[in-house]
Amino acid sequence: MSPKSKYTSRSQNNSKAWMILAILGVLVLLTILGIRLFSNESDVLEVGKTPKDFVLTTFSGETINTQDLRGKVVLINFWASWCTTCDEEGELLEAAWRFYQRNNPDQVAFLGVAYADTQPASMAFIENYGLTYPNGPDLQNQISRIYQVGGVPETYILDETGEVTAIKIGTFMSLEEITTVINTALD
Amino acid sequence: MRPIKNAFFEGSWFWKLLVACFLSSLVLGVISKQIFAQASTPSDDAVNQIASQLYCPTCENITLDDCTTQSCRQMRALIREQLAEGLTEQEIKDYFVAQYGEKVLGEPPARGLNWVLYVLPPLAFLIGMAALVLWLRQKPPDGIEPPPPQNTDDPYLKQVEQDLKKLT
Repeated sequence: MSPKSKYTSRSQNNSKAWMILAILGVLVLLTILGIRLFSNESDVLEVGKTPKDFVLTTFSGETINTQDLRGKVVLINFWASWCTTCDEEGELLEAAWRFYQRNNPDQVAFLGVAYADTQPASMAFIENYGLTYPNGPDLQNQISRIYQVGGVPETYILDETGEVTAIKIGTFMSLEEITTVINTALD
Repeated sequence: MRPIKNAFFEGSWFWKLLVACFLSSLVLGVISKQIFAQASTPSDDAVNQIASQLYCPTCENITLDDCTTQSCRQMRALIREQLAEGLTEQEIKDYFVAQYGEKVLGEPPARGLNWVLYVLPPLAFLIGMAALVLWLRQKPPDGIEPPPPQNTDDPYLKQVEQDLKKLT
């Protein structure tokens, strides 16, 4: 083999090696992206599981950590001012909240989480429907991501240990429906 | 007691002038307020210019300016309100990121693993181009057969070479 052909052959081999390296590089980048995507998708949240704790900063500036609510049954309601059925549900939840404030004030906590809403609209909603239980925005979707919220309204009931005892996708239709899920968690 | 009389205050021209001044300042105030209010109301274009860079947090791949849902209308109203308050485009975008996360941005910031999104497409293009160049260099032109490998041990060729040398 002549020196020229040897040179050409070596240069072609180098090019192929670089090509393989570059393709491997792209594959590594795609793998990193894939791992990142899959790691974001945690297990499906269902009854019996304990979701991560979160901190809710209410519209009135109060900070509530769900870790501090251990020992209480916690109702977490995701709502939005643009949601067409959240208004009726808000009134029912307010009635339930007042009921438990009278009867089990130290055993039940309510948290309202405004999902993908604007603060002025959320605050107007709270004022319109006279909601007195703590409500706050879902900043950067951190809370809805933990609860894997797909839409509003959605409500989760946690027992004294922080375990999910009931999930309501959609609107509560009556006060009884709300008190039943809370009383079941209290028992 | 006799009231004090002052020609200056008693003159009807003074009171007329005072009332005229008061009324004109009132009218001017109302007009300027209206003009100022009109000037401080941001236009739809100004709102949409920012809305087009933000994505609806509850929909799939729809920018706020194209979105017709109630939540998007509220968000556009909020942008208008913030513009009227004098917030800059960047401040409004920062507010939306703080509220809804980086996913609302049309262009994710090139930091963390996001840089892969910016690097991967041009890298894949360059690799594709390099592969094409390599392939074209290796492939013989159409219609031309590649030369057969030279066999230097062929006795016939050796004989031809020797005969050619004799001739020269």
